[in-house]
Amino acid sequence: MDMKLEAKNLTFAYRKGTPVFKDISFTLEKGDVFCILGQNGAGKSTLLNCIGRLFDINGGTILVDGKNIADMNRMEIAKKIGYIPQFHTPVFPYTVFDFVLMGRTPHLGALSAPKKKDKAIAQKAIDEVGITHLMEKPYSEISGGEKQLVMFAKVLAQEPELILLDEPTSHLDFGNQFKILSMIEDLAKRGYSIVMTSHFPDHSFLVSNKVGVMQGQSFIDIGPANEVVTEENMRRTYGLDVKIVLIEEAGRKVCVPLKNNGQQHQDMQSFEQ
Amino acid sequence: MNAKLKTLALFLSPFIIFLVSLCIGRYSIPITTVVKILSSKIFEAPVTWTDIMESVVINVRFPRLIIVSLVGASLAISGASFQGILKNPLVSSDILGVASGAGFGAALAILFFPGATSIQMFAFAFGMLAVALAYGINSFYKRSSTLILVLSGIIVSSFFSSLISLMKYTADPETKLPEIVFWLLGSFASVTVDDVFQYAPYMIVGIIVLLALRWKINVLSLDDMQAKSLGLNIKRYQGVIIFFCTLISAAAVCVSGIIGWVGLIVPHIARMIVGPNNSKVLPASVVIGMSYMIIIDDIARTLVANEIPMGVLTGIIGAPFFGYLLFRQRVGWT
Repeated sequence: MDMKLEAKNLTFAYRKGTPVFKDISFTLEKGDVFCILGQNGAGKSTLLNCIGRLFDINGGTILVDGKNIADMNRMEIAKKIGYIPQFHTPVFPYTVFDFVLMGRTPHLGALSAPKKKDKAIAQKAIDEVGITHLMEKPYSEISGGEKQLVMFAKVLAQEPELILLDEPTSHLDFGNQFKILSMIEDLAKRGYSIVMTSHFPDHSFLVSNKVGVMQGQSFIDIGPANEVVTEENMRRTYGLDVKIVLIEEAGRKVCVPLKNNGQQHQDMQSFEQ
Repeated sequence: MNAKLKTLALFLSPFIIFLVSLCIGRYSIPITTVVKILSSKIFEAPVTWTDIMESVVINVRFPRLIIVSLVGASLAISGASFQGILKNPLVSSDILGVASGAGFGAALAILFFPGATSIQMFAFAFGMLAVALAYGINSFYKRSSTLILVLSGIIVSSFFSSLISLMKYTADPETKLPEIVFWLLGSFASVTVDDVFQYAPYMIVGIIVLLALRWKINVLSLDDMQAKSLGLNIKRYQGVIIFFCTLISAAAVCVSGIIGWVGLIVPHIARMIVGPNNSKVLPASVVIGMSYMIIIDDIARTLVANEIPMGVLTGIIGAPFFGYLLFRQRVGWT
């Protein structure tokens, strides 16, 4: 079956405050990678949480395969939508295997624990992500990059159609960032749809086929990375002068901030002197 | 193989300790006689023992040990469950106020409605009421969280503790005050067969429900966003688990008085042995709680002429023992 996500006129506000965003609409097809860019506090993570109904929207509708998620219960949503939070440390040091196995929760009855079949699925997810050697290690004793891979294994064990990623590369070193990005690309090829937030415009060129730039309660632009991640849009969003150039060897564009960028940079220099 | 043997030893230990404990006490009985007396209840056997022996084993020690082991199991499993769902290894079975609520109920009954049955009923009812209050305060908050739930428990606990002090202050220092104080110190000395029939079912049912939910406690111990994204209705599961934890600890407290420490340290000992997975921690807590409580009770009734209160011993023996374990092994949390 082909997964489809339709978000129409989404509006959300914490309590009775001013809306974090309003009238946001977009559509995702199977295998799409949708990258949400924007400043800190622009509401990227909030939007992500609303898509998974971890927060309830105040207006608009979210349809997954034509079904309104407001009419679905948690279990039904969890079978369709997986979620990887930005940063996570459990209080108890479960082993990697036990932790990945928790991904099977939406497929289990109220009183039941994972069966052989669930364990086999968790095992397969661990193998696919390439962390078989970490299986018996406590989750608390592995590195940040490994933790993120464990989260991917957990979400694969969940068997959703759509995966929400909240800044999947934050806290990761240079090498691990690309490892995670290629994993995202790989998942999209296998038919998962992905919505991710990011602080790096470059990442949108790398993995996404759709980008939304959030600014002032809405998307200022939405579409393919090549059309949306422009020098003009980046200046509007981050207040930075950037140069976007095509690197032939890499076969894609990159986004580079220019020197003497605004007041902050000069302050920094005088501070250093 | 080694691990399997360890598990087997763990799960057999309470039964062996139970059997041995039937022999020891003021009036000691050889283990072979105890086994014969017990089996005579199931099979026909020639009577080779005195009536006193039979009465001591069947009417006194057996019901007492049943209650002792169930109380140990109840406090331990509710402590383990609370530590899991409240995502905090420092909480115990008392965290939401069940012990101080029950204590107040008992003190109230001792002052105004004396009698063993009414003291138990008041203790049970107020133990449940205290937790209901804590849960209610938490529900007042729109964005309730586990932190607010724990704080509500602390509020309710300290409120009832103050009420207990008030009861003590107004009690007759010659008669009522010592009774209140001794009740609060905890003891199994006055356990009867009736207690077994009245309160054991609550404890058994509660323990079974918590055991059935033990794997879910793993998921509930993650942060709320993750548990939610995995499809769990957190409020409902938390409510059910809190209800059954409270049911069994209220039943435990009302027959034994307040016994601290067990609900805090036994889950930690369990984690040291079986690791952090609650699928194993909860059953292990049950058997370790049983063994621990029986041993402490054995000491309480054999060490000196008068029985030593349980609440005194669990701490005096438990605290250094736990300190020793912490020193020996890495603990099961970060």
